[in-house]
Parts: sequence; structure tokens; C-alpha cells
Amino acid sequence: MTDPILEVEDLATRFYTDEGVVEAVDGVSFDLYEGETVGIVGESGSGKSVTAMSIMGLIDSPGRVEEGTIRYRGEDLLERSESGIREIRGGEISMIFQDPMTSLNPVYTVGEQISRVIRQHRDVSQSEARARAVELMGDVGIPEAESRVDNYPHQFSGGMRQRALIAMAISCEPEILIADEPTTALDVTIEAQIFDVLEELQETYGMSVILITHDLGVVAGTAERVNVMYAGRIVERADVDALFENPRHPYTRGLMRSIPRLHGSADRLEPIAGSVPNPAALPSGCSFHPRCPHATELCRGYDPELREVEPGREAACVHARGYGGPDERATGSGEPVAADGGDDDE
Amino acid sequence: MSNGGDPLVSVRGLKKHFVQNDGFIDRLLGADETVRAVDGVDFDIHEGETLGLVGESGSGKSTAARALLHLDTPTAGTVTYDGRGLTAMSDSELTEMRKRMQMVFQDPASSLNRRKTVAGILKQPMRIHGLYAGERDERVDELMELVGLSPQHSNRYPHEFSGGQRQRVGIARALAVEPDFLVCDEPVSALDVSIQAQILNLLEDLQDEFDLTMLFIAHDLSVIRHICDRVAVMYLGEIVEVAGTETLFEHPQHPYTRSLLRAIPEPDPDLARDRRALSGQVPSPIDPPSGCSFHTRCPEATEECAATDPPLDAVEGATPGHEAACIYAEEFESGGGVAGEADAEDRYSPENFASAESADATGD
Repeated sequence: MTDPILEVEDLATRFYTDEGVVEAVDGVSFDLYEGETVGIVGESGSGKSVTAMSIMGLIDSPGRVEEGTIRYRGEDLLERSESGIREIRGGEISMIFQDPMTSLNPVYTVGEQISRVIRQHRDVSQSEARARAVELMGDVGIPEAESRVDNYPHQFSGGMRQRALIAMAISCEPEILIADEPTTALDVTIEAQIFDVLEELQETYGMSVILITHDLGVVAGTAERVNVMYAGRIVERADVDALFENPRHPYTRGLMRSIPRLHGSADRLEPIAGSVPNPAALPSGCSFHPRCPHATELCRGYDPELREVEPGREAACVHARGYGGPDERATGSGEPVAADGGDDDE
Repeated sequence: MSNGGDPLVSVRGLKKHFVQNDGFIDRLLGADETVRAVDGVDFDIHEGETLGLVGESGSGKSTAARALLHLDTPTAGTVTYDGRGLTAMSDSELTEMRKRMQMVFQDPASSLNRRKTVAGILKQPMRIHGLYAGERDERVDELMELVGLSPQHSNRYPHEFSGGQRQRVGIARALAVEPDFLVCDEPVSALDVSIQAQILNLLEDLQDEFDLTMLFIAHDLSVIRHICDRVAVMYLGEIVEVAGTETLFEHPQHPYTRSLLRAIPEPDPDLARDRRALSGQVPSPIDPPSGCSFHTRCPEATEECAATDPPLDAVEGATPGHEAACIYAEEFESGGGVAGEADAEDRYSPENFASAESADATGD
């Protein structure tokens, strides 16, 4: 395989809040290759969106990207100045957000907003930009784009707004598109339409896509490789088929078991005990140990790194098959520790 | 699911229309627009049963529930609860009835009063209905334990709890006055994936323990499948299909239900890649399409569908109680639903964690 188009290495993004330092992203590394879709799955507070915002250079005070590198075509984006980042952001690397209402400006027409992005990155006239906007709106499946280009966002339905945002995001033919929960606010039938559009565009433009979502169904159908995040870390990474066939990390396994399904048994669900930890006060050792059915004394004190457990797949759990146990630094007995009961008290 | 006998809740011809106008000039010119949020629905809920109401946003499912409870006065139709008509009741009679009918809301953060402690929140319905005078503190402790919270935490405020815990408080509040009917409006859709199952299991346990009858509203068909005995599918203010849960998922007969099932991304790569989009959008409830309101998006629609508005009727040859509002309902081959048999979900079980070779071998 050729070199990755994007290499994120040991990324650490911290927020300095009144309640203390929040390590929102704590040592995250992953690669993105040309034309592929990589999924980042996690629940609230897992750091998946902060990872995306860090790549886009959109972390504001009290947050700071403090460690690591984000190499785009070999160049570290973190070395760039704010104006240097702006050249790339929205152009070569582009992003769509969850809420299409708040991401569009209500006082400008949809066409004006798309044109503005085009003119920011391309030297074209007003009318050329407008013509391109109409073309793009057609590409993303907005009917009667000719007339709807002059509509305001409130005249669009939720699904149409998300299409308009996608049109804006792809207006400069980005190399990388980061989609952060792009369909979470939409109905399932509209969601399926949006993913059809994204897939088509990806083929047309050869984009690489980072898909961020909490929805395992969405990654299953869209991504080729998947990163599972928990409490600021990637805890498991695998090809999508391998991940769903046989997840190695207890958190991934717990998620798979807890989600209600359409197919298969409709028996009682098996929830993960406890609740998602407060990112300002993470548990010691492995962050998942208080909720983990396999946790031992070792897990309380030892923080496992992401390690290859089989060619092409990685997990961060000392008990995962193929992990090979803790390294020399580790101590602890290996006595089993009961996971918390069904009560989700802190 | 209990059968026979009169239903606990019986809804007939329920309509809720909202008049929308953009102000004085519109009213002057008579430019009112009527939003037909709920446009004539009939259903029964039997004692001890959970009826699911599923639909996309704008289908009218929440409005139907509010109209059922008379939180909003219905535009037309009747609601009978335990043999008594709600529609003709006075306000004080309705208040008395509401002791028996409680609601759990979607967003526990905004449906709990931020300025009150959890104990205060739980005591409020008892005070309104004049129950448990002198023993409300004990009742609060009992409720906290019932929903899996520690009674010592009842003097805390909602923001001190996690999202899942807040929803537990919302459920405890609904149970405070010992209702026999619970309306749950998207009770898990604001929660993290790993917490949803906890709340769904809690609702099931409580239903068993207190013999609750439930109306469960959700947009997520997978959630509905796990908790409901029967399901009613809504589209544009009308019920288009109703059936027992297993029947509906395995043999959906309305094209909308079939399309919905195919649009859902299942957490399984093979199935999820096979997902198919339903074209178009939900039409405006201000000006619904002629004939069958789904015909504008229906892959099976013919000219006749634009002219005929099909009633919700029993599907001939199907399981009793299976009704669909489609003139072609009988003609679709049965099937087209989901596979009901258990599969290799065991592969995710804790027992197969360390020695997952066996699960690998049985992979599909």
C-alpha cells in the first residue's frame, strides 16, 4: 500500500476546565489511506469529536492540542499557522457536522453560503461560483437546484439542509472529508439517502472519509476499517468484518451485546454495567475496568496500550486473546475483581 | 399479551389538527393552514400489554400520545380509559384520571426541574394527587431503590446525575402515584448506546412487577422489537399497519413498513451494506397527498393509489389482528421482513471472550 494520506500519531488534546484537566483525547494514533472510509465509533465523552476538531484545527480555549503529530501528505498540520490551517480547512480537508440547522447561517441563502466557500479557496467569479453551487446541489440530490439555490436554510427540510452542508463540504473537492455524526439528527429513511449520496461522491471525487458516529449499524454499512474509542483512547481497531465477527476488546463486545437488533433473538438485552466515566475523573488503570466483566486486580493498576493481537487488528486489553499479557512494567496479581452491578452509580 | 375482555385504553377516530398562521395579516386574509398532525387513528391497548407506536419525525406519534392523555385536547375522536370516556370529562375528573396514566419523556435533562432535588421532584406528583401524606420520604426511598438509584442520593439535583440516572429519576417520578398505564415517549433515544439497554430492561422489569400497561413511542424499530407486544406503524398522521411484534417484523405487509425495515442499518456488515434507501421525504401534513398518503414514495404505487385512501383493514390470510392500510396488502408475498431465528450473537458473550476460536469457527 502507498503512504497514508493522513497520519495521526499520539494525539493528545486537553481541556483546562474549573473541574480540572480533561484529557479528551489521550494518545490517539490512526492512519487514513486514499479513497478509504475509516470509522471512529464511541459514546459521548469518548473523544471522537475532539479528535476530528483537532485534525481540523478547531480546538479553542480552554482546549489545546498538546502532543502528537497530524501529518497530511507528510506535512505536520500542527506546525502550520492559523492562516496556514485555514488554507487547508474547508478546501483539502473538509468537515460536515451533526446539526444541519446550526451549521448553516440563517440570514444567507444556501447558494450564497456554498458560493462563499468556493470563492474562499478558488479564484472564480461570483457567477461561476453560483453556477458551481447549483451543480453541487444537484450532485447531492437536491431537486430543482436552479431555484432552490436562492432559498434560505429554514425553507429546507432537515435532510435537505444536510445535503446542502455536504455540497458545501465537497465544493472544493476535498481530499479528506470528516463526517461527524452526519445523520444523527435525521430519520432512518433520510439517513440511508444521505449515505448513498456520500458513497457516490466518494467514488466520483476519490475522497478519503473519516466517519465519526455512535451508531454501530452506520459503521457496519459504511466503513472499511473501524476504530473504537472509549474515554479518550482507541481501545480496538480492526477491519469492519473482523470487528463485527469477533470483537476482541470487552467494551466492543459489550456494545455489540447491548444494542437492540432487528435480526436474531429478541430476548432480553445485556447492558454494559455502570455508566460512561466522567472524563475529568477517569478510573485508574484501564478506564473500562469498573464496567468490565473480565477485569482483574491487574486492570485497576495497569493501563494497557493498543497492541497488535493478530495481523491487521489491535486491542488495548491485557486479557484480550492474542494480547500476550502486560509488559514488564506491570505488577498485580491477576485476582478477578467483580464488575459493578447493574446500578449505574458513579 | 392479554386478550379477551375490554381493552384498558380504546382510541377511536382520534384527530389532532393545529392551525398555523403567521400572524394578524394572515388571519385577516384567512390564510390559515391546518396541520393534520394526527388524522383519524384507532387502536386498543389491553391490560398488561405494551403497544409500540413507531414512525419517523412528523408522523404524529407523540401528538397522538398527548391527545390520548388529553394533555392536548383532541380535535375529534374519543378516548375510553377503563370503560370511561375521557373526552367528556371535566378538568377535575381528568386530573383524577391522570393519577392512573403517567408519562416518561425523551429528554430527562429538560423534563426534570433543575432547581429541585430529586426528592422534591418525586414528591410533587404525590402532593398534586394528595397521596402518601406523612410517608412521602419513605416513598421516595422506595422509588429510588425501585429504579436502581441509591436512596442516599435523593437530596441531589438532576445535574449531579448521569443521563441514564436522570432517566431513572424520570421513570421513578412517573411511578410515584402508582399508575396502571405508562406512556413512554422515546425514553432511550437521548441516551448513550451502552445505557439504553439498562433502561429498557428496567422498564420491562417494572412492567412485570406492577402489571403496567404501556404505550411505547419510538422511531427506532430495533428498540420497539425488544420491548413491545404489538406495534402500530404511523405515517403522516395515520396508522398504516398494526400487528403483533413478531408478525410485523417477519411479515410486514405495508410497503412503508417494509421500506422502513430495509432502511435500518443493522450492526452487521453484510446486512448493513444491503440497506436500501426509501426515496423522497415525508410530505407536509398541511397538504397531504391525495389517496394513500404514502403513494408519493411507495415503490409499489399505481394510479389507483393516488385516488383511493385505503382504510386500515385486516390483512386476509394473515395472522389475526394483523391490519394494514394498503389496497395491495394481500398481494405482497409474505416475508420481506427480518429473520427471527437466533444467530451467532453468542459470539459476543463473556464466555467466548478469551477462547473465541469456537466463535470464529461458526462464523457465518
